Amino acid sequence: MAETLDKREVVVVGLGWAGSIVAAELAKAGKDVLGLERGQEKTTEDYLTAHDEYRYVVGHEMMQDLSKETITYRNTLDEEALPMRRFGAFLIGTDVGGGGVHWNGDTWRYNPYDFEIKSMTDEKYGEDKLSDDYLIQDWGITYEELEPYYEKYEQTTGVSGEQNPMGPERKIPYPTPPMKMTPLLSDFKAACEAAGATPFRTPSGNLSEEYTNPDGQTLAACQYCGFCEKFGCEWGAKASPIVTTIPTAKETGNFEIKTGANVVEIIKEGGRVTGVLYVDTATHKEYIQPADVVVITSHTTNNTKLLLHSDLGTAYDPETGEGSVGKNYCLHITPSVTGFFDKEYNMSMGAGALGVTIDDYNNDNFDHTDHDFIHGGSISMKQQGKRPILENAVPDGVKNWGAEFKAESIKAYNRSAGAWAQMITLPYVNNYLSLDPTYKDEYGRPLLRLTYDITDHDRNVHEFIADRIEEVIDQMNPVAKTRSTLGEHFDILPAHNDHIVGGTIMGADPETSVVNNYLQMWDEDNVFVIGGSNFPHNGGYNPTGTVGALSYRAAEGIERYLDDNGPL
Amino acid sequence: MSNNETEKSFSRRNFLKMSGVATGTLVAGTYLGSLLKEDPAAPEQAATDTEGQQSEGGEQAAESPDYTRAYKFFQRQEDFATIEAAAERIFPEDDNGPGAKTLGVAWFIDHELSAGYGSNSREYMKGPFKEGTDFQGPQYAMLRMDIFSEGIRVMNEQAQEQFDATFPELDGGQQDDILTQIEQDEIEIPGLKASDFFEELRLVTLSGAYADPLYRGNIDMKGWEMKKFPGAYMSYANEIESEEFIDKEQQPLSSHISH
Repeated sequence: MAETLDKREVVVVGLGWAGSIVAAELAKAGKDVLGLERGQEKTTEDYLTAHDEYRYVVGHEMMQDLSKETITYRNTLDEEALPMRRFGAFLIGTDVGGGGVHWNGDTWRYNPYDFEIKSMTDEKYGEDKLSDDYLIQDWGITYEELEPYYEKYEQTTGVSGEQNPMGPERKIPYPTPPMKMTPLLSDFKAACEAAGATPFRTPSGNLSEEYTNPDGQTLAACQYCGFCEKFGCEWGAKASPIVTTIPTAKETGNFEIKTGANVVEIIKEGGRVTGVLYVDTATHKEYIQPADVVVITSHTTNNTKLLLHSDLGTAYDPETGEGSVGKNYCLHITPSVTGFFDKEYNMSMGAGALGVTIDDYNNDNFDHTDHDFIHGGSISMKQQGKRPILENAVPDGVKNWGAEFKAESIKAYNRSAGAWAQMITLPYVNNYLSLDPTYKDEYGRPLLRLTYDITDHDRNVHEFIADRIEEVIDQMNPVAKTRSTLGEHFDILPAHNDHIVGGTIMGADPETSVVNNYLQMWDEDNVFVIGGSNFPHNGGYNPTGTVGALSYRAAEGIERYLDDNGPL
Repeated sequence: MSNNETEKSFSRRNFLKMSGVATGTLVAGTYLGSLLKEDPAAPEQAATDTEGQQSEGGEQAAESPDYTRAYKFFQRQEDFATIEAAAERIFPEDDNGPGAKTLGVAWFIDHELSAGYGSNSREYMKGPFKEGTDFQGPQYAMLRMDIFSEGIRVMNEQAQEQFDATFPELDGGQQDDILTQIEQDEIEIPGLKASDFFEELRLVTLSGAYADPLYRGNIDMKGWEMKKFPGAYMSYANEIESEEFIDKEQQPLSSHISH
């Protein structure tokens, strides 16, 4: 029998960027906030001795323990889904700070076109540009409306960058200037220009210089140590909740964290949500935590799973097209080309978002009239710091073991570099999230089931973008190059791209979305759901900046709701 | 324990206590700052030397022997020798430097199979177990340690059948033949796709060659040296802009710990 705890004003489920931003803003406003986190509390001191590729990258140290909960996966509706038994295609973080600790730091704003993709595409290219099976829809918010919240997130994190020549004009500059330039990135930049594109510095949450944010939190300058993605930053130089929003929330005295608390259900009594049910991960004892407002801020997969387990909203049915929860699952496909060069670069040195980007083939920055697709992707070369176990690129035709492999992979280690795109994928009628009928998690609850395959549209974009990347790499005079290909179906095993979105999407219409543009559930006034799960499609950039902006927007909405108690 | 050591660990504890609220300046000025100094603490030699190097390195006579060279997972010497030989074919000795055998990769594999890696401790292992499509990832009820045991048994069975010897006794070309047959699913391993075993063997071999020496492979960081991977440095802020390639001395994770 679950024990019922004292009621709190706001309970936040999951303490990554979304949860910690909401917690910090509401706690600053004097609200009583309880954060429930299934993982453990982490600070920079946990990462002092963490430069260990085997433990953190091969061993997925900072990721969700799949022995306790995972997803099931299938390509098509008529297949039986089976468990994703180990990590591959994408990673799911855990612990305080969540994915905001192990991320690379690329901090983007989505383009105005993203937010009004349906109406702008219809207007410019006609309603028949795409078949009806592609479920693109406007987000229920415009870039102009979201811009102040982007600014807020960028000020909190101290992003280092410069004006994107192809993007909307910034009202205020980035808080810090671009990161250091390297010989590799200089060569890539020159190649972009030679290929007729307009390169600029990738906006980075690894900071170019020490920075104190408006909440008084100081971030250090990046040391380019090469242990960034999948690691926490011991320097406090990577923008993350554990050096910004978590300490800010704590300093108010209005915020409490309960770790090892895995929320498994949102509780509804008498037609109204009254709190959450969580399991203590150490004892497996169950607790009911009552609250005035419940804010769901876990990973895309877990946000959707919680709503489905709690029977909140209406589950999407691909056969009828009815319902919204689980709809519009999207990811990033990553077209890439690796060049092999004569020149030797210091490839072990780097930082997560140390890069140069071109945006010429992203958004609606080029005319799509003669193309069989819309949108595109940002193309970047980044110097993230290679690590030796998993960095073994060899030219085509070299098999992946034995004498030739060893010699070629060693030779190429400091003489090869890839450029790749964060390429959009469009929502598709059969790509969705639901509950699995067979497999259960540690607590006996159904796993989330992912049904996904690569669409024809996305294959077309992949080829087009890979061609553009190849044109740039060719300008670097490679002695050899390799190019990514898409398989017959999407494969859950090989590492692909962590940016998975959708499932609790935002919009202007309760019939086709789960939350309004304050991320408040249409069906439940006192439930807010925030994260990548809000995206009706994935834009052509890394998603974290937009998650951050939406979180600030939601925090404002929740505060208003606590004062006025109604739909926003 | 000397006073000096006590003081060192005490001040480190203080730093750790403070770092929850530490600013960047504070962090850079204290413990982390000290790690940026040149000539970090040398690795513990005893843990990383091979027997051969110990007997050759006469001046280190007082050094304690390496007690870690015993089996935690394997039971038969022949099984260990089979994995050692296979790993050497995947990552052979050449002009660049040592292969898997000299790098201690088989010891790495032995230790890892006895730990969480061998028992799939952070993977979803609940049933039912069903054969999936080629796109749903491995669906084995067998633990990795059992997959390796089966793989080794089949490698030797095939060596006997095809060449009338054990796998470690074969010449390199013959060993490659059998490994290629496994890689291409031309040999059956009961209960799994042979190519999945090969992929595991390949990745664990590369891990043993290139993981931090704390895991007992990558002996003397020779794997890193071949790739010119500097290891666990705390900062390249003063070097990353360099037009010239900088070949740095390898530094292990143990240099980040106060000993």
